[in-house]
This record gives sequence, C-alpha cells and structure tokens, in this order.
Amino acid sequence: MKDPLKIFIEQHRDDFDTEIPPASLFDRTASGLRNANANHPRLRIPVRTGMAAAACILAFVSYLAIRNTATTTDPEMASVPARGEIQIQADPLLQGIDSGSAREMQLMAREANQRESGLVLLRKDDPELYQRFLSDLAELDSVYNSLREMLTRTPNHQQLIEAMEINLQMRLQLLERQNMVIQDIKRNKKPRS
Amino acid sequence: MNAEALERQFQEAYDLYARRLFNTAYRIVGRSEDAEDVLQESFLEAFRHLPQFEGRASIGSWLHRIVVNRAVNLLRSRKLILMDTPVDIADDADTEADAMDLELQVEQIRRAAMSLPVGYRTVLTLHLFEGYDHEEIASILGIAPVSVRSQYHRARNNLLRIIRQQI
Repeated sequence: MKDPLKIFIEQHRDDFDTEIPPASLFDRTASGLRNANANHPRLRIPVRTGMAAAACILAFVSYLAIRNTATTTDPEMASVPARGEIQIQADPLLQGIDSGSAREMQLMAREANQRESGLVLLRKDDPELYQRFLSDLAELDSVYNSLREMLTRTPNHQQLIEAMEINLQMRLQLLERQNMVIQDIKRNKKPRS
Repeated sequence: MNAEALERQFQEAYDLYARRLFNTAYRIVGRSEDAEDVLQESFLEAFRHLPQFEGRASIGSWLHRIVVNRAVNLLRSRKLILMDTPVDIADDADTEADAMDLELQVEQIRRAAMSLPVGYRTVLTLHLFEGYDHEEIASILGIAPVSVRSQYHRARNNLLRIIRQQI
C-alpha cells in the first residue's frame, strides 16, 4: 500500500513551493551570464537544431495523431485527465518513460496547472475572453491527448515524448501570456489617481 | 547561438523553472540566502556549459540535477554531510510510524520537514518532494542505498512524530 504521506505530498506538491526567489536574482544571474560570455569570447555554442527538429516532429506527429483520432478505440483513453489537470505520475501510459523526461514533464505539468488556476479570475469578469482562452488551451490539449494515445501504438516513444514536452512548453508560454493579459486588464481597471 | 539568443533562452528557462528550483534548493540548504546562491550558480553553470549539454536531456531536468548537486555540495562544504550509517532496515520498518490516522496539512508538513536535522531533511526532500528513488539519492549523496533507506525511514518517522506533537 502506498504511503499516505507520499500520496498527500504528491497531491499537494505545488502548495509546498511557498518560497519566492527575489526579483533581483534574475538580474544578478543574467548579469553574471553576460560577464561570463564577455570573458570567454571563444566560447562557441553550436547552433542547436533540436528545437527546429522537434517542431518538425511535433507537426508531423500532430498531423498523424489528428488523422488517427477519429478511429481511436483504446479504453485507456477514458483515463485522459480533464483539461487543465494534467497528470504525469498518475498517468498509466507514461509509466515506462525515462525518469528524466518524467521529472521534466511533471515539473511543467505542475507549473501549467498552477498557471491555469490564475485564469479563473477571468471567468466571472470576462466570460467571453475566458472561453477564448480555454479554447486556445483546448487545442493544445487535443494534440497532447492524441500524442499520448499514440504511445500505445508506436514502438519509438522518444519522439512522441519529445513532442509532448514541447506541447507542455507551448502550454506554459500560452498560459504566461494569458495571465499577462489578465494582469493588464486588472491594471487598466484600477482607478487612476 | 549568439548572445541575444542565449539570453532569451536563459530568460525562458528562468521564467519556467526558477521558482520551483529555488524551493528545491531551499528545502535542502534550509536558508533563503543559500538557496539564492545555489540557484544563481546553477543557472550560470548550466548556460556556460550549454555546448556540452547538446540536448542530451531536457534543460529543466538538467537544471534540476545541477541545483540538487550544488545544494548538496554546499552542505558538504559546511561539514553538514550525511553519515553513511546503515541500520537494520527490518527493525526500522517494524517501528515505522503510520500516517493513516493523521489529518495531514501542507503547512504542518512543511514546517516539520524544515525542522528536521539536515541529513534527514535532505533525504526526505529528495525522495518525497523531488521524486528521486533511493538508488538515485545514494548516487547524489555518495552513500550506500541501504543507508539512504534507513535515513529515509528515520526521517519520515521523525517528521510524523513532530507533526503529532504539533497537533
């Protein structure tokens, strides 16, 4: 039987991250990075084609996934979590992936779930915009779930996992922008003194 | 990659991971100032060595491992190193405290974990919060897996004892 303490921490994992790094830390670190580059002009960072390749993979597998979605009969798809509640550790289809990818996806999923909770503020204030935001997220959900489902039919999981990681990154970027819009709206609503 | 692209990539990674990694470091080193140092040095190390990285793993998990290693090294540098002291796991397991009857609360667990001795806190953090198994923790800490198991059981028992005292 699984430890109830472990289960509780897994279920409330985000709530334990209460410490916030000071805003100045980013500037200090960025400055350190700039100085390091200035002091090491011969440092050659090869052009990474990974992102481009990954984008191609994403486009390709997304196309295949969407094409195949209509014929999906896998009963495990019934366990696809509801949108906005992405589960990695509890997902039976992701049990066999390497621990590095699993941890990375877990980090991103938690962050996405946390950021998505910020959208709720909009539900009452601007339901139309809220629905548009959800609709954008739903597109990413659709691709994620299709990729996830393909894990049951594709022997090479590596490319699918990479595409799922990119999907989660895109979700985080989208949620960040959506939350920025909400902050702008809140700022503009405040009476100017 | 030019400097501008590198900085952009750095900013994206920082936005994505800084808060979580800061909390990871804080739970291990136990002080905000030290967690800041660990986070700053980890990002600098990661982005200075980007050519060696070459996408062998995702940058988030790479950063996470650097943060954990740096936090543990900080403890080592302060002689707060874990002792490799295996105990009889069977005996330990027999006395394992049960959490079934406890009404667990986040803040209670958080405070109790931070009040544990540093060795227990580190093993507990790496297993319960960061998801490493005992073998991975043994590799990170440079001690035997059997020591990790015994330290973890003791840490967990101590944590539950502290929580019971708080109730």
